This record gives sequence, C-alpha cells and structure tokens, in this order.
Amino acid sequence: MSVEPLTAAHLFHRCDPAQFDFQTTAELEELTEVIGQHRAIEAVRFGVGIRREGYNLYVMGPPGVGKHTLIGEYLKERAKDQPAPPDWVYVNNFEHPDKPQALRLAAGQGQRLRQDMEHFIEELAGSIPAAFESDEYRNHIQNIEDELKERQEKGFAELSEEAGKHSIKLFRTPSGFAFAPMRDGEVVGPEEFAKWSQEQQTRTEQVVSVLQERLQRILQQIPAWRRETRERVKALNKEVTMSVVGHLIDELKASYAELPPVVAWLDALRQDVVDNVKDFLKPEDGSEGIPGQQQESDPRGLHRYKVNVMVDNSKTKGAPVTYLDNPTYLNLVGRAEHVAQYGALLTDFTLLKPGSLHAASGGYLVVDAHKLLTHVYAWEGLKRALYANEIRIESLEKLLSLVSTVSLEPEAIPLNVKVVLVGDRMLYYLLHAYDPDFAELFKVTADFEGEIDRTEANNQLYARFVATLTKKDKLRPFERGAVARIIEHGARLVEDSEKLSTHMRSIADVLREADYWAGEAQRDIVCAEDVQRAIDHQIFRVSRVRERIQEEIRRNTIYIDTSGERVGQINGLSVLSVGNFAFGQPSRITATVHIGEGHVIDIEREVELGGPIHSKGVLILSSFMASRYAQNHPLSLSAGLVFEQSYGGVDGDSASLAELCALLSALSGEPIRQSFAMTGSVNQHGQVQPIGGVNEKVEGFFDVCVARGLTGDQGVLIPASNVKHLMLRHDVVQACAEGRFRLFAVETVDQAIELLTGTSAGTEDADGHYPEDSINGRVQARLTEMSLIRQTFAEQAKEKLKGEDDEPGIKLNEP
Amino acid sequence: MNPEAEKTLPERRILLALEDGRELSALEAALKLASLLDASLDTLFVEDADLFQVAGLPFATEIGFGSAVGRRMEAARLERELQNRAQEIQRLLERRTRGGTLRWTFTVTRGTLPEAVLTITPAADLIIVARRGLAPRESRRQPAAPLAVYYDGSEASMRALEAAISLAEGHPLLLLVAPIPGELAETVLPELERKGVRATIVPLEEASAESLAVTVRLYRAGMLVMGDAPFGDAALGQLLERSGVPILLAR
Repeated sequence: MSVEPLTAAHLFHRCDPAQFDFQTTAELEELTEVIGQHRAIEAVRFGVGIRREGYNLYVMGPPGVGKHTLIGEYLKERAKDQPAPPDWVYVNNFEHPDKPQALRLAAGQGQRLRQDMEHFIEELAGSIPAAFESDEYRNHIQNIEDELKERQEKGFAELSEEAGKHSIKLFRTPSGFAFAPMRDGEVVGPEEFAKWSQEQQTRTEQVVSVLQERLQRILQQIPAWRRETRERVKALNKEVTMSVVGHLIDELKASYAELPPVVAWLDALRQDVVDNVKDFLKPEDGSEGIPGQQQESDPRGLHRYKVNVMVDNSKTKGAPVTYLDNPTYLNLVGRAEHVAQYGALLTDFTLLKPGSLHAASGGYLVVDAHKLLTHVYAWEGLKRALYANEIRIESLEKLLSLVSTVSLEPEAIPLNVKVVLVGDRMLYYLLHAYDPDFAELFKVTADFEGEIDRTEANNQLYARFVATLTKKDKLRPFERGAVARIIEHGARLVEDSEKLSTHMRSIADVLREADYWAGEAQRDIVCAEDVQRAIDHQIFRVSRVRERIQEEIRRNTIYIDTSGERVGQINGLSVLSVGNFAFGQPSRITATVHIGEGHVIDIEREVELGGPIHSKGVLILSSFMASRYAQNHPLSLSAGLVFEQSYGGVDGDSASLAELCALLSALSGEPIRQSFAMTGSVNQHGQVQPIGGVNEKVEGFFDVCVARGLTGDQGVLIPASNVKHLMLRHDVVQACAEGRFRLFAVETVDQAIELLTGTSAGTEDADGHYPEDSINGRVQARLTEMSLIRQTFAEQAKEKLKGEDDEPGIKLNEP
Repeated sequence: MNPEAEKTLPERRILLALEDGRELSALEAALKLASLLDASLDTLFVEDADLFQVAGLPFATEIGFGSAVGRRMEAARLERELQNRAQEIQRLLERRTRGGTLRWTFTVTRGTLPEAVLTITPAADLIIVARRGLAPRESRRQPAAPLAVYYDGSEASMRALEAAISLAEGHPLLLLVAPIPGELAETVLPELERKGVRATIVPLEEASAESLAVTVRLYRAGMLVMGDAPFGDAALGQLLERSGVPILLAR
C-alpha cells in the first residue's frame, strides 16, 4: 500500500511557449469574441432577439468575466440597424394642470416643437403688449368706461334734476349720499326746518323718501353696470388677443397637421392664451394691468406654454442602448423637481425630468442587479413599469402615501424596452426563490462561465485576448513566453491545471502590471519575467497578514511542529481569505480519547466556533469509527477534537481526514510524524475526498518548512482527486523536484495513516480482525478494551446500587 | 404746519384745497408743481359745512354708496369720518415729502370749498381746488386724460398755460378758447411745439363757466387749468360742480 511522492510534472501544468507560432502578440489579430462564453452568447442572442413580453435578460456570472463588455458590444451592434424610437414631450394640460399631457412625436420633432413654442412665447410677449397699448385698444376701453361713467352720471344728474324741482339737493357725504331741502341756494338747517309747518315738513320728508328710493335703485344698478363693463372689456381683450395669437397658432397647426394630438393641444393653448392674456403684460405699479381682469402673481405663468422634451432622439442613431450606473427609483422612472418660491416648493410639468426608462424606451436598458436591488424601491419601480408597459412618474413620498400635498400626476408614457440585468448567480437564485415577479419578467438567463477548458485552441484565444488588450490599452507587446506564463496564471486563478479562468479583469490587471514592470526594466517587449514579477508583486502587496502569521509560527508563538513525532497531534491545513487574496495556513489539530458513550466531541462546535460543514465532517468520521471498529460491541469511546490556537470560526470539512488520523493516532498510541501536514475530507468508508484551495494549503506549509529549513522529510498529503488542481509555485515545484519537499496523493485513510506513522494500517481478515501490530488492529483492540472496561464498570455500579437497596433502615418514600 | 415752514416762507405758494382725501390726482399735481416751482404747499382740507346742516335735519338719512342701504345721518359720525379723511391726507403728505425739501402746511377748516378758497385762504400763486363729485370715482386710472386749459390771452391765462405745460408730462393739452386769441397761432402754438407738448385747440361756444364745464366733461379732461376766476368768484363753485374735475387757478 506504499504511496510514492508526486513528481514535479504532477505539481504544475506548464504551458509550452513552443505551441505558439508567433514571437510577440503584435503579430496576432485582435479578438472579436468573448472567450468560452458560447452558452451565454447564445442566450443573449435569443433574449435580445425575441420581442415578447417578459423576455428580459438576466446576465449572470462571476464578476470580471466580461459580462458588461459582451452585453454592451452586442447590444450596440444590434441596435445600430434598428429604427430610432419616437420623441416624447410633456406639455401643460390646460384643463388639469396637475396632470401634464404626454405627446408623441417623430424622432427629432420634440426639440423642434420646443423651439417653436419658445419662439411663439417670444412673439406673443412682444405682440400682445403692443396690441394692448395701441390707440385702438385704448380708445375702445375708454369708450366702454365712458359709457359706464355716463350711465352713472346720467342717473345722478336726473335724480339731482328731479330733486331740484322740489327744491331738494343731493349731497355727497364721505360714505354715500343724502338729500336736504334748499331755499335760496342754501341748505335749510334744522332750526329753520323746525319752523316750517307740519304739512310742509311732511311733504318734504315724503319727497325725500321717494328720492331716496330712486337713489337706492340707481346704486343697486351700479354693480350690474360695472359687471357688464367688465364683461365687455373681457370680450374686447379676447378679441384683441385672438387677433394676435390666432394666426400664430394657425401656422403652428399647419406645421404639425400630421399629429392630431399636437393640433388639439395647440387649440387648447390658444384658448388658454386668450383666457390668461394678463400673463403677457407687465402691470404698471399700482395698476391692475388689463381692465376687468385681476393680476395674478405667477412668475412662472408663461412656462405653461413651454414644451418639456423628455425623450430626445434627434441625435440617436438606431435604437438607444442605455446603461444606468446609479439605478435609483428616480433615475429609473424620472422625477418631478421643485423650485422654492416664497417659502413653498412648487412644481409643474417643465420640472419633470426623465429617467433612464425614458431614454431607453424603444431600445435597451442595462442595469447592474446588485445596485438596483440595493436602492430603495428601484426594483419595485422597474417591475411596475415592465408590467404596465408604461412609465409613470410618481414621487416616492406619494407612492408610499407619506405626504398628501398637491403634486403632479403626469400622463404615463408607453414603454417598450428590453431590460438586461447584470449580476451574480446568488442574486439570480435568490430572486427566483423569493420574488415570483422575477420569473415573469426575466425569462431569459445568460449564464457566464467562470472557467473554460485548457485546450490548445483556448490557449490560442488567450493569446489573442492578450494581443487585443495590449492594443486597446496601448501596452507593450507580450512575447510568447509571457503569454504562456499568463495562461499558467489563468489556470492557477481557477485552481485547476486543466482549466483557464475567464475572469478577464484579473488577467487584464496582470497584463497592465507586467507592462509596467517591463517599462521599469526598460524593455520594449513584455517577457515572462515581467509577468512573474507582476504576479509576485500583486501577492506581495496584499500578503501582510500571511507574513505576520508565518512570522508567529517561526517564533513559536503559533505552535506548528515540522519535525519529530506526536501521538494525537497533526498539522492540518486551512485557507484564509483576506480581501481578494487567499493563502494557506497550517493549524495544529489534536485528539484525545477516553471511555465514554461513543461520542466524538467537536470542541469547535461546542463553543459555536465550528460551522455546520465542519460538524458534518466530524460526525462522518464518528460514523466511520463505529462502522469499522465497533461491529461487535458498543463504541465506548469519548473523544475530543480541537483546532489548537484557533480563535475564530472554522468551517469546511477539509480537515476531517486530519482529524480522523489524529484520532486513530490517539487510540492506537502510534505517533504521527510532524514533518507532514495534510488536507482532505473523508467519507464514512474511509475514502479521501477532494477539497478546495489545495495550492494555497501546500504553499502555506511549504513556507513554514522553508523558514525552518527543508529536510527532505517534510511534505503534504493531499487527496488524490486534487492532483489535477495543482498549479504550485515554482519554488515548491523546484524543491519537490530536488527531493527537498514531497507531496503525497492519498485515496484512503489507511494510506494516509501509514504515511503519517510509518506503521502499516492493516487489512481486515475474514473474521473482521486486523493484525495486532497494525494501526487498525491497535485501534480495534483499544476500543474493545474500552468497551469491556465500561461494561465491567456498569456491572459493578449495578451491584453496588442493589446492595444499598437491601440495607435495613427507614426508606425515604415510607410513610 | 411743519417747523421748517414756519421760519421762512418762500415767495411762491401753492394752495391745495380739497374736501375729499381721496382726490389723489389733485394732490399729485400740487406736489409736482411745488417741486417744479420750488414753491411751498399749503393744504386746506375743507369740511363741508352744508353736510352738518343736513345731518341736523330730523329725517336726514345717508344712503351708502356701496351698499345702497339707508342709515340715520349723525353729525358726530360725520365729523369723525371727515377727521379721518383729513388725517389720511396729512399722513400721505408726510410720506410723500419725507426726506425732501418741500415746505408744506396742513390746515382743516369748515365751510364751503369755493368760499374757503376765495376768502379764507391767504394769497397763493397757484390754487388747486378739488371737489368731491357726485358720481362715484372709478378706481381705474384714466389713461392719458388730457389737461384742459382755458386760454383767453390774459396774463393770468398765460400763467395757467405755463402751469399746464409743467404738469402735462406726455398728457395732451386741450386749449379751450373763446374766441380764438390772435397771438395763439403766432406765439403760443410754436412755443408748445418747441416744448414737445401736444395741444388741441377747442373753441368754446361762448366764454362762460357753463360752456367751459360742458366742454371739459365732453372731452374727459382730467383737470381744468385757468387764470384767476375769469368768470368771477361766484362761478368757481359752479365750475367745480359742473365740470367734475379739479381746477387749477393760476393767479
């Protein structure tokens, strides 16, 4: 059952530069496709092509694989041959100003209408005041008012005349009128009046009474006369206004004759101008402006004739492709802004601002799913728009019924858009699971691969990708050796010697940094050395934590033995992630055993530092123990397992093999060689299963050993199924090639324990027994012994309890 | 009277006599002329004595202009209302002359307006008389109402014409003449043209107060400007009553 160390060829899958028939990437054609995303590209092609409701796209995959690039370029290419969508404008609704009216115009006509209306307003602002300042208008007004004055004067004159016939005079008092008798041009005072005969007094009073009644009738008529005058003035104003505005509106109507809604709006506008002509006139101080109409304090008065262009496709070639970087609710559906006026916030249709849905309607909208979901109500707003196929601008406070102030309710604008959400897989699964609307609205999924097969064809594509980026970013050409090193790095990124990463952002970063280092070295071409330096420097920049941990191991603050032997103690390996950098760290795992009820205590779990997968691994090894060694007697074992000097959470089952080996060592008494570290999970049958982060783990222990000095005995045990994932550092490979370090690939726990102890694991015979001097034999014997001890102890305890029951005396439960 | 005015009174004086604090056109004209001529302004508010006689009658009833409702006319209330009107115009004068150099006085008297102007008030170079008309005032500004000037070729009418030119400021002049003086075409009209004053000659049917008042009303003049009592003192009251506009007398 001996396991041989892995050869250097197993540790690193080299990329041979000789496979490339170019010297530098300058010779290569640019890449026009995204590497290895055939499935995603087909999905995008289908999703964009199908014009049915709900067939929006969710583009998912790991970040940095080029999702945005692919989507953006594909949509642009497809959109350029499609027709530009129409323009949309908001105009005032003259009947209901709080409900602005939406008008649809051909692409480019929105700005034209806006300019036409600007000119219209300018024209009216000059023509209307001129018409109202003309002599003709003033004379008309004068005549109307003179008539009123004459009516009043005539009434008073006739009354005065009638009074005069009776020697009565009409007097004007501060607040009204009064009648009094006259004699010789003088008022008859009270003393004189008292001297008059009773008959004369009575007659005078009767005449005055009649005159007063006539006066009252005249006074009661005055408001009606004034009202009539105002109506005539208004009619005159309308007539004058119409003479100015009529032909201007007619010209506009002729210009937009093919658009009935615009023509209808122009008719309504004409009537509004006539009804509100005062807004075009500057009132003089202390005056009323136009007779018969009250002046309104509205500095935004003429704004209502403006045109607010919400969608302007005058310069759009093809269908619009819009990427919304900040997908807030308001940025999606638009907003109604406000202006402060006299301490109040006012709004009107000119303050409506379009959202990205307006801009993208008739084309495509690309939104980052994570950003969309993290903005309040943005997702809800998008869904509402997609369900309704219209864009309705509503403020959030109104949507949530938080305020009840008067605001705008603009007419909804029809929406015809293909939405492309770009996000990671987790969001996709969560949305699918928890939001039933998602499946209704996003029926097409484009799933981007995070890795591709490392074939020769893909190597060539990788080389062309390097060539494309060097040209696009104006980098130095890469020699083929550098390209080979990039490919090796691509394999390391996905932890698989048979795969390549499609995380193009990471590759691009290395390319740019390698170009920098080539520049530092004053080279015109980037060589493999520059690529290696870029990779090393990337690691160096983020490896502070790793260095500190390594230092503490060297200084024996963190206990890790790399020589000698210990019972129940083993070097496990774990991976720590710090930001985007992961590194391996050896951890001491210890096991203790004693007689018990067959439980293996996971101390990490007991103190809630162990995660569920780690606990599962421990339970599996417990099951393995019981299955292999306790077929004929109870498993009378209690064991404790712990990650020593671990003060944070532990999860994953990659240490279960190490934990099992430590337990077997503790039970058998066979010491484990501390020059080894190991990783791997184990199943109930003792088979070793693959784990993640194998490269980092091996390198982590290697670095500790290098610091202590390589002896040739040191090495790492890894699952055999992880060999294909090995893309180790050059120094590790070199040490192994020179026999200074070793890697063993194990398939079973027996292989592992043999390597660790140097003692045979032992094979089970037909009776289910293992050889006495084998590891398994010793474990079996120890467990049998523990079972017997426990059984004996239980019988003795039973006898003792029985004896106590037979002793005379008063029993507690007796009355 | 303001203290400044008490010390040294200038030679030129303008008298504004009115019986209604809301006759703003007369007040504006008086202030403007005072400023142009560097004259002092004596304001005389006349409480119509006839109204107190009326109020004393046992059946005296005031019919409200706005409401057309009749209510008992009482002397005390009448006096209070007239005092309020007087105070209104005094406060207005204070506001309009604040920070300026215009010297002014304000006096309240009781009598009849023509009588007060002709007998009570001291001598003044210009007298502006504004009477409360029978017909209610319309609140709207009359656009460019012309100034009517009675011109008979006398020295006084020449002064009246000068005062009217000072006040015109874009308003057209109506030269009311009867008969047409000979020097009008030779000297007056060229002078008006030189000063850029628009003037229309309107012949009167006869040189009488009655004819003058009718013409002023016919042409909707905003004010009548004339020499000192061309038709006798007694005609002033008739002119005020019949023309319905403030009268400026140039002495």
